[in-house]
Amino acid sequence: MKTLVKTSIKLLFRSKAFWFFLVLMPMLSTFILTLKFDSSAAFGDGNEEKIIELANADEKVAYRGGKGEYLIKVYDASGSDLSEYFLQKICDSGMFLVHRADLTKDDIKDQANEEFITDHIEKDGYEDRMGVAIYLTPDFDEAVLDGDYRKALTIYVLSEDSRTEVLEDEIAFQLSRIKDMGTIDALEKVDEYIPEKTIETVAGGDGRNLTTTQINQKTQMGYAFSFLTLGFVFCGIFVAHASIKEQKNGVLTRINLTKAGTLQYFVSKFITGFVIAVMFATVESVCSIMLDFDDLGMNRFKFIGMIFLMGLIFSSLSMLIGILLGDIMSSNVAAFTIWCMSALLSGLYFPLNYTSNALKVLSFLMPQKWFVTGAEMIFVGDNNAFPMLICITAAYLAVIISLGSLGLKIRRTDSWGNS
Amino acid sequence: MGTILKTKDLTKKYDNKVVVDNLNIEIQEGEIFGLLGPNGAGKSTTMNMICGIVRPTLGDVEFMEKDFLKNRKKLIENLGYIPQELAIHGNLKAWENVELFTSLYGIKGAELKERIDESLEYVGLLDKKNEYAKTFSGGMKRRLNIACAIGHHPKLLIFDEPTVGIDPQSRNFILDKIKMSNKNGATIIYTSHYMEEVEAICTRIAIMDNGKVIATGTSEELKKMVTDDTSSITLEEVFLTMTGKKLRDY
Amino acid sequence: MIRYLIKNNFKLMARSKTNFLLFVITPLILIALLSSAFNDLMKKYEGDVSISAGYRIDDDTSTEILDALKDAAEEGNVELKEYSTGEPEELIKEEDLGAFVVFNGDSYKIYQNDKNKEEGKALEYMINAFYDRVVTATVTKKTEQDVSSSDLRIENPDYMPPIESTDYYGIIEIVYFGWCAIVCGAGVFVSEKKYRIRKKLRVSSLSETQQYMAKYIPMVMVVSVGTLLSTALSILLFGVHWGNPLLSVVIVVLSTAAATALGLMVYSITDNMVVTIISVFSLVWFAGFFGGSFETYMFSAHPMSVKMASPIYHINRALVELSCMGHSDFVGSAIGYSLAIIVVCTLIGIFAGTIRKRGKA
Repeated sequence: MKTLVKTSIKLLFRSKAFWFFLVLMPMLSTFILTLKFDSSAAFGDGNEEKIIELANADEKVAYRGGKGEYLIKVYDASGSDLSEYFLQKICDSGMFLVHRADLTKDDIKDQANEEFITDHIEKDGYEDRMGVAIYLTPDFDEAVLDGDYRKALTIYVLSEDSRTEVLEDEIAFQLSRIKDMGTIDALEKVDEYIPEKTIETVAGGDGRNLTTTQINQKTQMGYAFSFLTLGFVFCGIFVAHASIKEQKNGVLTRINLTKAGTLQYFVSKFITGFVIAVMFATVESVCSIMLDFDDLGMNRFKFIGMIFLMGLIFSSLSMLIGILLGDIMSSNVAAFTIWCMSALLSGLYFPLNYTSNALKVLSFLMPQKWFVTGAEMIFVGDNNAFPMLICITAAYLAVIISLGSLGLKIRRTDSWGNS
Repeated sequence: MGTILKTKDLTKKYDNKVVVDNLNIEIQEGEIFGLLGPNGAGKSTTMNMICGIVRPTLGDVEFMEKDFLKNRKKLIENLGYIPQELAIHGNLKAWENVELFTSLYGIKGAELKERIDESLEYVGLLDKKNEYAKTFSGGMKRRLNIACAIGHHPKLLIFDEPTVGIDPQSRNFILDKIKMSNKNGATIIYTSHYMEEVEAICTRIAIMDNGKVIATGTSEELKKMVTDDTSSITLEEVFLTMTGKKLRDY
Repeated sequence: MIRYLIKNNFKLMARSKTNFLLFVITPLILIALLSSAFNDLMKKYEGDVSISAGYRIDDDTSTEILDALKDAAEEGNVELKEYSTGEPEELIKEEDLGAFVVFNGDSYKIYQNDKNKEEGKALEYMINAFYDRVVTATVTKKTEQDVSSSDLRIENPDYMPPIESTDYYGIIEIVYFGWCAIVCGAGVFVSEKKYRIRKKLRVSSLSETQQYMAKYIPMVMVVSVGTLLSTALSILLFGVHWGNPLLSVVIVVLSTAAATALGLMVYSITDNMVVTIISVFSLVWFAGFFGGSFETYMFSAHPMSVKMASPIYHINRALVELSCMGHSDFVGSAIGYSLAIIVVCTLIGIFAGTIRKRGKA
């Protein structure tokens, strides 16, 4: 066995393509991941019943809401206490998520004319996702108190959501209220009579209540899992490629004529894959200097540990596929497709809450699903995360190794390879 | 000297085609047994069944008086197979190839190092041990192919057309080494299309056609089956007489 | 002169089961899977769905107010059921409630189900709006408000209409797999290398450009036929809407031509099919990731500059907008980008092949 492993590793190390790939892939993946992290405005950083302040008017709101929330983007050229009150009331109503772009800042207030708003609305319509955009004019206070509501604000409807009507009614009601009361003090006095509201979210079946920051970090972990495991898939292909060559040139048949059996052979390939995965993880841990671990909600060691374990599963799986298919092209395509789809179906890019039960069940077959769960456990300080992940990894690997040696036995050809 | 290998009604069918048909051969210890036959006669399939690469449809293989298929793990270390195809790693050095295949028989440490050098010296590649197999000529690759099969000192060596596509010097070298191995106690099964090789080294020859052995004996005995004047006929002519001149398009 | 070579290569590629699987069957399987998985995510909010919520009254909440609230709830399609015992969290799970509210004199607490957030929010809004209006009416002594939505300035600018998950994934999966075009020729090229056919071609009178075209043209033909067949099947089986047929076909074909050129260029440079496939797949995956092949491009928060760098983004966007809007500003850039890739990659590919040939000579 030792010689088989030694030989496999030697053959890999002597391949220039392998070294090129080992160094470049983690660098590229990590670099692109940093782009993703930098760009991700992701979720709001606090209470949903607070107005979310956007960094600037160009910032998108699409990903600040989860599925189903009604997003409002406000271009606030007023900046007054009354406009703040008005927006807060819309927020407090419970159904709407209000995001404000402050147009009263020094660097922008001169540019914030009608053309500016029109351009942004056009972008919002095609490159962002929201229920409506609202423009509060600089004369908002005056206009509302005068009852000239058309001068106070403009609502731009950017969806077919039926809640838009509800919003319009709510806006009309709040404006009418403001006009009737006249001052913020008066309004707040009336608000005191409204019963106090408390909201509590009851967790779903998994029983974990994540904060918004943790949800954000979970999303980032999902992207990290995708980007950083891609290379592991191809690690396995390299090992499989060597094995396919051995099948074709008769070396495997020769090995079968020795005391080394099919299981031993496959295990030796697995060990080779393991060693390569360790090397790959080491390179990735060096490249991870580029990452900000605050975004990920865990320290470097835990992060690399998770990536390594998941990567090991995928590299073993792609190796299994390669060895069983016996053809490097098909195995490349199959391994890549399986990895791609398992990422999608495990809910890495979208929550699976709203999918069918069959798909929810199917998602549990995907390794990424378990690792996302593990990440959640780490976020909430559950110490059982890594033992669970190690067990899951061992389970997947046991299945892969068994299938691999069984498949090789079945596949054994009658001839000395296909050379 | 007893029987080292015996096949009993060995048969192999692929779908409805019978490739090897009730083959019964006995190979004595210490002999060089030649197996001749046209293309598609069933020689390679027979060799594969003897080694256990292919499972027979019917019949048994008895090796060293034991059922080979049932006792494969214990008996396999006494068998060495040199295939017609080159089964070596081009990206490994010569010594690494020999090390890989020899170590898989449980030989390790200093003994393994010794066997590697011994095998490479035997095939005349000791001075090339640190060169990559892919840089070797055809003849050198064939010799390395042999070295990979003899490191564990098998009692039975099976050569399946070992001299295909190589120059006369390399061929001559290989044949000399086969004779030397036999002198050192190994039993040899040798298949080839080159009649002069078979005639030169084999102590006994079997001719196969359509999956059956149609004649067995020494070279002289086979010639006598065709003509009384054995000096006037070559083994090739005997072969053609027995198997016919029709092309075999399998 | 290369007509026969093209014909031969076309036959070899067309006979490959892998090509049929990759360009025709796999996209269809994925369309079925993904459109069903993300159907709810991309569908419109259904406002008319009735909500089932539980409530409990603690202490001295006015029953009059509560009755009025219940009437308002009924009008808003919210069914309020009283549960005098049991923990709200448990009741939500056991009774499959959208939310639970506990009234406690001058306050109330709403328990919202994480999984049915929309329903919880609808209930929250309804109760909040009710109290807001009741209190305001009490203070202002007005039973009806002066302002209605018709007094507001409401504009309806153009926007990207919502697209069904079937249409979205029906289009982008076909585009994505088209970008794996190199697989189409992989078997043939590996075989040529293995059986020394390249050597034979080198001693023929074919120029490097002719040899390149003899590979490129049949690959484009086979992949285009595969993707167009997949397109037709997606329309038949899933009812995918493709927008302007002629324009869509042109974009898809140019997209496959660009993908082919890219793959061939990488192969010409590396001369190693394994490295080519790994490199191309990785590149295409990243381009697809940022281009909306996994996460819909409309919802993703990747920087615009990164998206615009991905050719797949332009192609996806052009086709998706043609499908849901009938027109797109990205048609030009999709076609232009594809043509640019075709030209640049073809030139580099031919150049690399020429250098390699000279090197070997």
